[in-house]
Amino acid sequence: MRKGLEIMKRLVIEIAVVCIVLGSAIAAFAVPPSEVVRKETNETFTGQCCFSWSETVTVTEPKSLVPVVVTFSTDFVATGLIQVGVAINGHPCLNNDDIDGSTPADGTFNSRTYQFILLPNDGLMKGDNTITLCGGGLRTSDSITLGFHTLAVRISK
Amino acid sequence: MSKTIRQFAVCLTIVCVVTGFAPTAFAVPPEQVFQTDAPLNITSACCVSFNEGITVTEPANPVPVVVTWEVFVLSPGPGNIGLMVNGGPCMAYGNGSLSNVGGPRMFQWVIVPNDGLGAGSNTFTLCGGGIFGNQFMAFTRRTLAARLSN
Repeated sequence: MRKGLEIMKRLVIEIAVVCIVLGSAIAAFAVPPSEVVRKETNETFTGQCCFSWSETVTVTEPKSLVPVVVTFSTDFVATGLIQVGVAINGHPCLNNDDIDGSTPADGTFNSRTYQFILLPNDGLMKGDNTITLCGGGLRTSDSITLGFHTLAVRISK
Repeated sequence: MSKTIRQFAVCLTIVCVVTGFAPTAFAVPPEQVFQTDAPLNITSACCVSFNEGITVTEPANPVPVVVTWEVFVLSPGPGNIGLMVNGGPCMAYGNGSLSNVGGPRMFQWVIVPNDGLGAGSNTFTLCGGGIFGNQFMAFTRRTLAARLSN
């Protein structure tokens, strides 16, 4: 009887350990706040490509580097053709994509979403990596005003 | 001896069963995604509910949610699009402008715990309307999806 109780107690402890480990695993897969940015103010950037647009997300790479997917979604108005890309760990701006400079005549904003895939060869390193939005116009006078926007990074774990 | 082995076998079975359920726990729950080809026509000033949404289940300590709306816009506005979190007001959690050009569009919204997320079930409902008053907006194929994890 006493032995049975002991076995039961040990079983309960072992199940509890399994549950804690599983619970921690789920938490480890949650989106870390450092992997997302949301801005609710307008920001204007003027100048020729390419310079930092300040918005940065951080992603932690495992020992064996894996690709990451970065998604930038924004409202905007622009005065010309603007390029947008991302800089990894402070390196030059990569993956430049075009933002069409046409601005609605009624003063409203356009809206676009851009997705960038960053590979280990692009400069990713084991541990924390910063990914910063960057870009600029074709001419020094070109400018873009970002309205509400989000930047999010996704990594396979 | 045989009792110890039996006990070990029981524990191992429990671990295997629990571990076997783990990938299922990481799969995208059906209520977290929405897809339709049905036309959606809205005539309103901003903002009204589109009566389309998804539900996400947050853990005890809520974590950020990334919501993506991909849509084919037939008649664009100008209008604004947003989300209602748990039946709250229509808010912009990222970009939301629908200018006067149609075509495929994608919006990415980031909802953080401070936006009113709670442990358990949370609803995200699409909303929006015209910027300058009543506006006709028409949409066709669209998906709405949320992710809480990598």
